[in-house]
Amino acid sequence: MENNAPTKVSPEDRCQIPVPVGIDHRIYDVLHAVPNGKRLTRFFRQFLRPSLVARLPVLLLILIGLIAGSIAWGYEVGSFTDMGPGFVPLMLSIALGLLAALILWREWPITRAGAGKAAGQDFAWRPFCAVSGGILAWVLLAESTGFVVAAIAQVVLTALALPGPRWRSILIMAGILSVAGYFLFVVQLGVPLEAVG
Amino acid sequence: METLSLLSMGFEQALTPEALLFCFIGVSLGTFIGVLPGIGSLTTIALCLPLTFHLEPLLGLIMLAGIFYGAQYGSSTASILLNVPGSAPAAITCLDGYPMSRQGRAGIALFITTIASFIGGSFAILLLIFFAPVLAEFAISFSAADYFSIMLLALTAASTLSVGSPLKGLAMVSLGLLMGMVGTDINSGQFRYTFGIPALADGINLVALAMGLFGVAEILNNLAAGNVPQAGKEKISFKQMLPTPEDWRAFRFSCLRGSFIGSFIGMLPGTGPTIATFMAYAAEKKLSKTPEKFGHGAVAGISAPEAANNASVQAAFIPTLTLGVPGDAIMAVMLGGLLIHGITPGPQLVTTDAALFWGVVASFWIGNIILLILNLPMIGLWVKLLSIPYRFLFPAVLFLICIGVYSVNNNSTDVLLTLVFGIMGFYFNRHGFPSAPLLLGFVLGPLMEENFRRALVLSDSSLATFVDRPISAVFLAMTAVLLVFSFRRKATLTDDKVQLAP
Repeated sequence: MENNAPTKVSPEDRCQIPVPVGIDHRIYDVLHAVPNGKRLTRFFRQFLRPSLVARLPVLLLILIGLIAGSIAWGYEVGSFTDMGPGFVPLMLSIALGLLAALILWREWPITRAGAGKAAGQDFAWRPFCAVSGGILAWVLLAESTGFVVAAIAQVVLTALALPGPRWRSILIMAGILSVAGYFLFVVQLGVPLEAVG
Repeated sequence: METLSLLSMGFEQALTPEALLFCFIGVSLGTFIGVLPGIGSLTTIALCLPLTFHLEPLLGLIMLAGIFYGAQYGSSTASILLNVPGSAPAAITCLDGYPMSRQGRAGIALFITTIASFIGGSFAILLLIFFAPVLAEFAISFSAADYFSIMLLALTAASTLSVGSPLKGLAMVSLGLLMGMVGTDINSGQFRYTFGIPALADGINLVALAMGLFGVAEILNNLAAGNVPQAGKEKISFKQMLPTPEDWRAFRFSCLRGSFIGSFIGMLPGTGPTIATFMAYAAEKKLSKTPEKFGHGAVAGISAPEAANNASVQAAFIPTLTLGVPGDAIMAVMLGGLLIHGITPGPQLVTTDAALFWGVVASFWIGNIILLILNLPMIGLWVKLLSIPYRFLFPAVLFLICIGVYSVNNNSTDVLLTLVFGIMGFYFNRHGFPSAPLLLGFVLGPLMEENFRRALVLSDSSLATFVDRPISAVFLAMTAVLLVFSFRRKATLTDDKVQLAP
């Protein structure tokens, strides 16, 4: 029987980032300090019951409906004969809230068991952080340090999403993409970004 | 006769060197991303949308449409060779395509899917040529109330006729409609849900939303699920592709039935190619004298869904162009693109913008012929594409998403929003909430609000206008039937699940 009983963290569990030759060991230490994904999931999960995890998206939708509705209430709502800008948003917020509440009610037995497929999975921290980090790097760098730096930072960070990154091919790809992208988007299509800011 | 002369005018438009070039670029790009699992046609169309702003509307539309139907040709390749669908509608092709491949008949399967795609596409184009102008003429008499009701039907169909929970689909439609409210209210000039962010004053950027929900979320999903599409090493030559006479016999009628089902489903507002392929497959299995062969390499099991797939994609242009009501999320993005170009699809488009309408229709045929050439003699080239490892693909795609979204308004906030929408789509998808209804709701939201308010103004604020007008009443009745039907189905499904749960 394979059971998901909490076990010791096996070596494979740990963040696998090989030390590339020639890279300062301090960088390696920093990379290793990135918390282990499974342990992080476990840490968060102890506060959240599986049933709550399974119900969280529906609760979020109800919350969105409530917030959107209260904001719409602040606009002029008006009436059927004279609709204000808040009328349709208010109706939609109510619809969203009611639909979400209906889902909550109908799926209560399913979510009570915490049987949601997603709830059983470990959250994939590594791809999540790498992809978000890559896009954030682009957002922060594109206008300040220029296209090339932003593109390289984005591609390299994103590529870390899979374990065991191949540094040489990633760097070559980042270089090609940034230069080719610069000529296509900035030179040809006139996107107003500097090559190096 | 008038139709034919208009069509020949369309061919004049579509046969200019420029139009041919963009048609070629579109269908090649479509096949390219169709073959590669993990990049959808919606992401690509949204990516190319900013590029078309520099083009004439006709050229832009020819290219975007080419990506859409080109991707349907390519998407069966990975289904057959790797058992991984290149896009959602091709999932059903895995069922019989992959077993054929295991039996050493991969070449024949690829040949059959290409021919079936061509026949399905051509069938629907014929329908488009003869039926769209008639529908447009009929639709000229549509009032605001009728438009509101047909959009309601489209949204209901999109959320209830898909795989999964209809309630969750409806919730996502509501969320999408709400997100469509963001920006400036056209009647009063009031900012709604802009939270003081200048980038939101004109509403949420369609490209950012589509890229987030489909591009970023799809990549996160692939990476998180650990099912990173594997690279394949198959080689296919043209010689291996010729079907046996027995295959031809199985192919003939199944392909025609698939074309018919696909065209019908595609024309309905709110139903996309995925449901068309599922229905075509189910119909073939039911009609077959040897249903036990299905799932073990039955030719009819790939020819009917592939024909239906392409037929529905081409037929989906009928409601989008003549009514301005998109059939699925991809058509919604296309509609958004047209609106950005200043073209309002609707019954007037067929007459006032006749050159555009018929030019696009003619380009469909040219594109399908190019695709036939691209996919038969040159299949080996596309198969080689499958050997590109995913570890190189996804950083490159994310790079294109960043620069693509940025280039729409030259605005970093949009890129940040793309990430937010990506995380949102990923999270909700994991819990069974689909993204396509959200996007459809987002595009239709402002149109529905406008028509709703206009209908009430025109009728002195009487809600009865929606049931008094026969056309509107019919659409509302269809919506109600759909809702009742899907909830009854839902109830039985839920009971099953409860029993299964420990």
